[in-house]
Amino acid sequence: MRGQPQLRLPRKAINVWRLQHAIDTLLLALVPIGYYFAQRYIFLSFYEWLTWWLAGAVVIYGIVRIGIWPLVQWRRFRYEIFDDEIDIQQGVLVVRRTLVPMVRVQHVDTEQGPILRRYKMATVSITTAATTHRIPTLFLNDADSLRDQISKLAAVHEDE
Amino acid sequence: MNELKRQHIAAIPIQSAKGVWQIAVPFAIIALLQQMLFYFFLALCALILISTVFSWLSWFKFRYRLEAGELYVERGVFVKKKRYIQKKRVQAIHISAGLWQRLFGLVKVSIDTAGGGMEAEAEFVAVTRAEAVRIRAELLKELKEEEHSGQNDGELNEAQGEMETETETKPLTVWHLGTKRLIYAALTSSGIGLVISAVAAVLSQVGQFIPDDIYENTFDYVIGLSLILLLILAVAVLLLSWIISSVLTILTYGNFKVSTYKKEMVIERGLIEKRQLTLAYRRITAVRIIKSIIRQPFGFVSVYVESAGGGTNKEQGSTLLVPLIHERDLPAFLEQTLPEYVFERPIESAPKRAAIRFFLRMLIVPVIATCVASYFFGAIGLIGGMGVAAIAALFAWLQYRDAGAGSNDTFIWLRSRTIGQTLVISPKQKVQSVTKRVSFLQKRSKLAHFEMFVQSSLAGKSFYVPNVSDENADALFRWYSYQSD
Repeated sequence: MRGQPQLRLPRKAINVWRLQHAIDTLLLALVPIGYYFAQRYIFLSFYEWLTWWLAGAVVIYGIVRIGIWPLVQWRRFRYEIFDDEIDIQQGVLVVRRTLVPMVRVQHVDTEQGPILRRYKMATVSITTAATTHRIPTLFLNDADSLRDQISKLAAVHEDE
Repeated sequence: MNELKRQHIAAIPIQSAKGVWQIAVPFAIIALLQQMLFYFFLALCALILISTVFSWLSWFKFRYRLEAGELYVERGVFVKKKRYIQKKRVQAIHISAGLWQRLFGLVKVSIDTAGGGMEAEAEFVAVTRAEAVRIRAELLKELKEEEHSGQNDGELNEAQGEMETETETKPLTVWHLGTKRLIYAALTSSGIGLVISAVAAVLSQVGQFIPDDIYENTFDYVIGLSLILLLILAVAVLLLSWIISSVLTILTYGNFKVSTYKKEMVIERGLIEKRQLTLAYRRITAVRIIKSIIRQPFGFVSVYVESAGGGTNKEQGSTLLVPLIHERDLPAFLEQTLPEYVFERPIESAPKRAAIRFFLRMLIVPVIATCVASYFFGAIGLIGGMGVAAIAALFAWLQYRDAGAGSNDTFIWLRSRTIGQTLVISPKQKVQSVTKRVSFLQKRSKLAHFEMFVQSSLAGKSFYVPNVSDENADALFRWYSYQSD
């Protein structure tokens, strides 16, 4: 395999992901809470101990997802923009290495959700006729210039 | 600038009949069983009236015009929709004639464009065949202009006219499925499962309308029958499903014909509903050669084509190029229809160390199930579970043996199996992106999944080969790279 792609995301991304994962952990926490009330007031025959098992599972999920996951994710995520193609490596449990030729790029967008907007960051998404690829949590300026750079390179190749 | 046109007036009864048919049939069955036929006929009359009025409205509001380079369609009863379709966006044109259309000697034309999604971009429910041919010729003319770019302008118009008629009458090559192949295809069609589930669904619905005592009596009767009779019954249901599925296959694929032209091919098929699909070669993104498990022992394969636009929903957005052909006839057939796809395809298979992964993946569930079954049912459960596990193991071995990939200067091919074997071949220019995936377990044994994405008529389609060696995946990755390093 040729060397890994060279560029990394800003370290700030780790914190942003931690916040995002904290939110989905909270959503997951609704399961044991809901179960607790259901067991307490509606379905009295349900097991009480299951509440604590579910709560425990959510806590473990939270620790892994907030504590460890973003670090590995950041360390794994690398990308590089060449004249002819985009090379992205990502994934925590499964490492995915993707090549997107410039000739195949149809359009490039920057996207911002509410969390990213707060941190003045954005995601660059690259669309081909079949797939969409994302380079997440870049600072706004970098995302904009990356988008313009890819779009310029893609336009050069379209003439062929 | 020519006038706006409407569809053939028969579009009204066709549309209306279709609508009524769809709504009325389920209700007719219920009405028959509940003995409310009188009310049903009243409702039917109202339905026909309403449906005719609506069909008339939508016919009245549907107007189109073919201009130089584009098709203009306006329609919509309450909300007026206007749409221009540029001919360079046209991906494929279907001409089909369903039962209703054939009553009037008309055809239906659907036009697919890039990015159209599931539905056709424009659909003419009823036009004359001549008009359909005119629409198709007009929208595909661009292709012919390219062919004539070598000639000088004065001749161009004349030459175009010539080309159009030529396209209609003189294909370069024609390939017929033939009766023998059609019958083999019908007998080995794997639609049996589908028919069985449909029959079961109908039976379960009918069950609701049968009075309880009949139901109970029948149940007692069935229980009273001997095991052998039950077996015979099961075989009869299977046989019936097989026959139905065979007949359906014959009706769908009868008269199957592939004609090739310079820049496009036309696939025709169908006994009751006739379909005709025009597909430009440059739209083809991948060719899939499928060996279904039933047909493989006989050496038969079927061939599908992925294309940007033009696929049918029934075939998951692909186009069936050949329902059935013997492997030894395949090269000759490809030579005729898709000559670029004729070449040697050496395959580097998954390495030996990958075998264990295929077996683990297939056997985990059956082994656990066997343990559970033998716990609950004793020896019978154990034997049954072992039987299932043995079949799973056989498939695991086949999957391991079939996984592999290869590439040459312009093409890449991936071979894999779930139940049937799939070989997908795609030119480098049509591959949109590739991904190499390595899970943390694969990393230890230096294996990887290799995946590629091509454009298909619905969206992107992904094809992958599991557990090839790391070096092989890297080689394919380098092959795809446009970067000269």
